[in-house]
Amino acid sequence: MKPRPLAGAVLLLLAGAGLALAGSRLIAGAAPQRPPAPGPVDIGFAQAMRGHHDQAVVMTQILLGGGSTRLASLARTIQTDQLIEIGQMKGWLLLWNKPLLPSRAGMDWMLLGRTPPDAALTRYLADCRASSGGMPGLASSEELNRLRALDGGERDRLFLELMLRHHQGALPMAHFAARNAETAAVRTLAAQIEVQQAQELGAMALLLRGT
Amino acid sequence: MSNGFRGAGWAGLILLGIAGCTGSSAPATDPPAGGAAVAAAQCGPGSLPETGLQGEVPLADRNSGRNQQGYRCNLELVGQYQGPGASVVSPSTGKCAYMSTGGTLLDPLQAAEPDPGVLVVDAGNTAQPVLAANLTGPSMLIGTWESLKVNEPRKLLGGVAVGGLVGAGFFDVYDISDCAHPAQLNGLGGTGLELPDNVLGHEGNWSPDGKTYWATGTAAGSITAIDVSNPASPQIVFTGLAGFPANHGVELTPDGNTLYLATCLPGGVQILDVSDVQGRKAAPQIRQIGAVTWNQFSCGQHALPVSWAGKPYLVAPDEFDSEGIHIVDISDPAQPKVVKQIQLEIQLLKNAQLRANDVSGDGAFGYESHYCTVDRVTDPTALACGYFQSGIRVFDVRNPLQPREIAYFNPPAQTGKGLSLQHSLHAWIGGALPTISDLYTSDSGPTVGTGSIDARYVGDFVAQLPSLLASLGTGPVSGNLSADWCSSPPRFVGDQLWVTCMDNGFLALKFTNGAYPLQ
Repeated sequence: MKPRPLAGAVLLLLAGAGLALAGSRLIAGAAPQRPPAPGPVDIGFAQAMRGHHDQAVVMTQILLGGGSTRLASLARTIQTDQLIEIGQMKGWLLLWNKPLLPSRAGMDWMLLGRTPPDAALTRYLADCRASSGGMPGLASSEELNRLRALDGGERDRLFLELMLRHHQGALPMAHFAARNAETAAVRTLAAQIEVQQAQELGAMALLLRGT
Repeated sequence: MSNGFRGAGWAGLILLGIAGCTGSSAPATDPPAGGAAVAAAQCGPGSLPETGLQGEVPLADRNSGRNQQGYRCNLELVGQYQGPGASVVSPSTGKCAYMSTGGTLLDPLQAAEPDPGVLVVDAGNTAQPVLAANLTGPSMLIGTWESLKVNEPRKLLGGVAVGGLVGAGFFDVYDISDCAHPAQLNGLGGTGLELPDNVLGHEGNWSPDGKTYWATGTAAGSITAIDVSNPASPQIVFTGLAGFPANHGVELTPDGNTLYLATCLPGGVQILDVSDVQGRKAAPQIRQIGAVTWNQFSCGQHALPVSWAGKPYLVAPDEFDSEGIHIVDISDPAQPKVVKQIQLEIQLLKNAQLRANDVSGDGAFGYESHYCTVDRVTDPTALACGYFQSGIRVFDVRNPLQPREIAYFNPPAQTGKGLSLQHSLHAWIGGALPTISDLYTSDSGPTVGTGSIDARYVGDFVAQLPSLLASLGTGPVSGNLSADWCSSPPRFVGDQLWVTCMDNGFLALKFTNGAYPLQ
């Protein structure tokens, strides 16, 4: 590995540790004695993030399904994390007796936070409304088919570009739910996703520079 | 079918009558009470009626050989092409039928047959159907399970590779303008389904416009939409739904925007908004409009949209737990409601032990419904369904809340012929498995818990395992073949029914005694 990416990776790890600590404090301070009933943010987050994760898993399946790649380790990590998290969110929705998929497009649940949306959130929600899939960052069918058709370095580069955009689209959702969900379990997972995907974003940005 | 391992293929009635097929008032939607069998058919001259309960092939008949004569009531055989048997779903169109195969993954010797793959049967002469061609695309050879489907408007035949249960990566599409001589339109090079990224099939179906083929898998939930606008180069337009309930049969509204997805464990139907896919949005998402379940341990097979008196319903057979067929009122798609359960007498909960005794040694599926067809989707008068072990059953459904059986045909058991029926999934492995479809919870309703599974299930299941070796019949993996598995959808062809059963192959049946058309 070249010196600069190595230094960058160390910085990322440190940053990740810091984010993880901040996340755990955020969660620890709010843990209730008895879990309250899920609110619309809990349900909306579980449904929307489950769907968002779904496409990330598809992208990793494409990359790991055949051909040559230098990103197998990264893709496996993303796939494992997100499949486990899909399982968590599915489990909650089943226990809450709520549908696994939302009934309509839109991210209205992000309007139901403890405080009115600030400028950044308002901008994110506008991006949601303007996006084909109702959430920013999703790859289009055409982009996924391009990923299927490529191989080697070209495919790695496209994978990183698509996954970077995908993670960027997920972060505001996770950030919001970590602070506004009713149940500690949801806040915990949202914080973990925020931390984990922020780390992966940094790593992917570095990798993209090297491809 | 549903799958057994998954995937194989799952009442009180308030009789506010609708006035026949042109009735102006919709059926009432009171909840079903359950517990009663559908009214039995009155069998006219020429019939060879069942000797036990409705739908049953009694153990005594299986032991004496009476089952090899079959059972018939107001339906008689006109013509047959048995060939090497068929797999789970085999469709027909025009004068042709397409007999699927269990495939080369389960039986590699099939690759060396003179006519491997899907067999094309020309039934232009109904009394003497003949083999016209065989289809050897990769999916056709590997086995299409429940995915081999016809799109009539575009005259296309499509299927995905399934093989043992859930396959990956192959999709074949054929032009069937000349139904007896299909021409494959896509080649592997142009198909764009790179291996093995996309777990596709177990089951599948066309959108009504024939431009999208939906493939579902039962492993971990998967659904894939394939754009077939250009059949020479199909492309994936959506894949996903990881963790969704095991996905099963697919039916769609005429506009292709709403998808009715049958689910297993729990048995039920999901109503999904797939307009993003149908409209080819850049990054399509699927949304959930509504859902209904009826048994946590059963397995909905497919859910056919129909309407009576202008009110929309689903006809949803279930392939587990002897649940039979559910009729679901979807006038409020957000709150679908089961309004009728159609069960044969042998399927009632009280006959669970009898069922277990009868079907032991005849494979994974007991007396289960699988695929149904109506004579027309608007104000249907007759419903024809294929069953495992109970043959083909036809019901008068002019009043869907008060159906009655009008005819049945359970073809002769092919006991001892396993070795010559290599394409039959029943005769090849499926028949050798212990019964897995029946947990004896039918009628228990959606709140059934694990505690209500009849303890006999465990004992019977375990007891079958060592006996398998002793009841393998003539083939190494055939089971006793004591009743056929008729899991394909029947098709109304004038006053006939065309259908394919796994062991008996293609059958052209004719209604007798004025049973149909219904006056």
